[in-house]
Amino acid sequence: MIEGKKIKKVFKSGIFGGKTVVAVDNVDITVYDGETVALVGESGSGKSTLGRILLMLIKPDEGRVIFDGVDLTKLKGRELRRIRTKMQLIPQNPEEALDPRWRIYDSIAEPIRIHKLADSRNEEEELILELIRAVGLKEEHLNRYPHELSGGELQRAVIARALTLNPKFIVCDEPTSMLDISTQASIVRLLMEFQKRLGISYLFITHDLELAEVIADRILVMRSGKIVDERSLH
Amino acid sequence: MLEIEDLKVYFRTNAGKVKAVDGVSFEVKRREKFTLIGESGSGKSVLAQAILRLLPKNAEVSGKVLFDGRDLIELGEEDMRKIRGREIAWIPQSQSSLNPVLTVGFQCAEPVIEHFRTDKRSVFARVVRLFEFLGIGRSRVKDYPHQFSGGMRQRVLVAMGISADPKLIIADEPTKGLNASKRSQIVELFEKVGDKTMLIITHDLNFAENLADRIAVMYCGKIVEVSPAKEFFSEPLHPYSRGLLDSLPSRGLKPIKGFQPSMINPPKGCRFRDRCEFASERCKSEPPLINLNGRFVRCWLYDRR
Ligand SMILES: Nc1ncnc2c1ncn2[C@@H]1O[C@H](COP(=O)(O)OP(=O)(O)OP(=O)(O)O)[C@@H](O)[C@H]1O
Ligand SMILES: Nc1ncnc2c1ncn2[C@@H]1O[C@H](COP(=O)(O)OP(=O)(O)OP(=O)(O)O)[C@@H](O)[C@H]1O
Ligand code: SF4
Ligand SMILES: [Mg+2]
Ligand SMILES: [Mg+2]
Repeated sequence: MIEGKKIKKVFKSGIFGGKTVVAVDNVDITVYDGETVALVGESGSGKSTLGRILLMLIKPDEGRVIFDGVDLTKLKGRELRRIRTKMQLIPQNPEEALDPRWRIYDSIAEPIRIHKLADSRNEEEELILELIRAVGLKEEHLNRYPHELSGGELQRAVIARALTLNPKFIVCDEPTSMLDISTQASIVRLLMEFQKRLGISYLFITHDLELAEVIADRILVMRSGKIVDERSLH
Repeated sequence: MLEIEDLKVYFRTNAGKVKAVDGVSFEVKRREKFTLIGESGSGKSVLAQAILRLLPKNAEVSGKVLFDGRDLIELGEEDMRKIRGREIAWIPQSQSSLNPVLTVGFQCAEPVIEHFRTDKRSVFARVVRLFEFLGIGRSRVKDYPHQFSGGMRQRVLVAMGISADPKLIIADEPTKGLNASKRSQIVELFEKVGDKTMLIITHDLNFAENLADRIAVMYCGKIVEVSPAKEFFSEPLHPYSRGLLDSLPSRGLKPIKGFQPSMINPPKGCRFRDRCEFASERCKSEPPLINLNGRFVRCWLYDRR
């Protein structure tokens, strides 16, 4: 279970930091184990910022983030990194997630190598092929660099990478925005299957209300940095 | 206005040749809003990049791209640079095409200043109006791309594309990551610049339905259907088109069975064959694009011979 308590984030810009944008304004949010919470709302309302704060990729100005009973805002360096392997981001812009100088294969293999999830090269390769096929890609894509894939192929490679470490919590930030609706349907089904198998919690940021209604247990609506509405679906 | 004839784009890779666009022909008429939809990875963006000559060095291109009678494939880089931005605008799929060290307002004004040599102040005023129309306040015009949310950056790409008043707009996924009200602003904006010819690539079927005159559907490097938008949405012809419309979330999130085919070794015969519920013996040979009273479909089911 992940909880955000009284989270606030203000961005300053302009020459003397004179302009401020209150991106997240005193938000309380909980995502229970195995739950899918859809986060919807106007462009610029603070959804991605809130998602990144829950993963501690952005430090909040105020408030706390509690993951399985541990206050992440109090952790440092190594401890935070260790706990973070249980949390993943599928970013809104997939190019952010992958190093442009690495082949797709190596980008997906990296977390497997760091965390020694495969005993041999063969096992690593099998694991990667299985994941890449599950997202509808092929061996022929693995040897290429990120700019040599289509937008939607890259988005799916990032999804495959996020699933390698069997995470407990994933922030999916518009994860299917570059997919045709048939491919979107199979990817969403894949995410749901992983959820059933591993009890993953999702914060699913989307602009597609129809999609949110089909997949989510709850829908939260954000406006100007605040959560202004909540709806349970199932 | 824009005529594409037997266009092919093959990429050389160490795993073989990727046949990303494999014999595509179509015409976009003056003032038409022509929309290209289709499977992820089927060659839509590569097709657009071939028209604008923005492909990397490992691409082999053949065929014709006639723009007002000139073949762009034959044009020198210098002439092409003049056409890009000024006569043909390009709204790319990737937000990384924004320059991280220039303000968003400057990036939108730059192409106008460069091509028309008009005074900066009036151009900036125009950019501010465009931003405000798209829901980005005046105070944010001097921000940098990283200070914007994903949807705000998307709107900047759109503003950049249309700021120089081009003849033809080619837009790749212009509404991705935008909520419904912002999407309809983009439709409105595209209609305002109304006498423009547009080639729009999108996965957003609502957007396509609201804007398009004609829809073309791409599958594995080929065009498999071209239909007027109304007819397409009420009665899609190609089995792939039907499968696509059936996978809308509101219809139960049912994907088309099977996977995107290899583009290095595409399936023989009809490329949709192993996923098609109507496949028969003759689908082992490749179907031609069949003309049905002005609609076009590449499928043997419509062959009345
Ligand atoms: N690094 C930053 N510096 C300054 N302002 C920022 C920064 N990151 C985000 N903002 C601002 O914070 C607000 C919220 O941004 P955020 O990316 O969270 O929105 P969002 O809800 O995800 O929008 P979208 O749907 O468009 O992706 C926006 O006004 C944005 O411009
Ligand atoms: N530089 C490249 N080298 C090799 N293959 C490439 C290169 N660029 C694109 N491709 C391949 O060409 C095919 C078509 O890509 P394209 O980007 O046109 O797809 P798309 O239809 O726009 O898909 P999406 O909807 O996912 O954006 C894909 O299989 C892609 O992997
Ligand atoms: S040609 Fe045959 S396999 Fe191809 S779409 Fe038509 S019926 Fe299906
Ligand atoms: Mg966002
Ligand atoms: Mg594309």
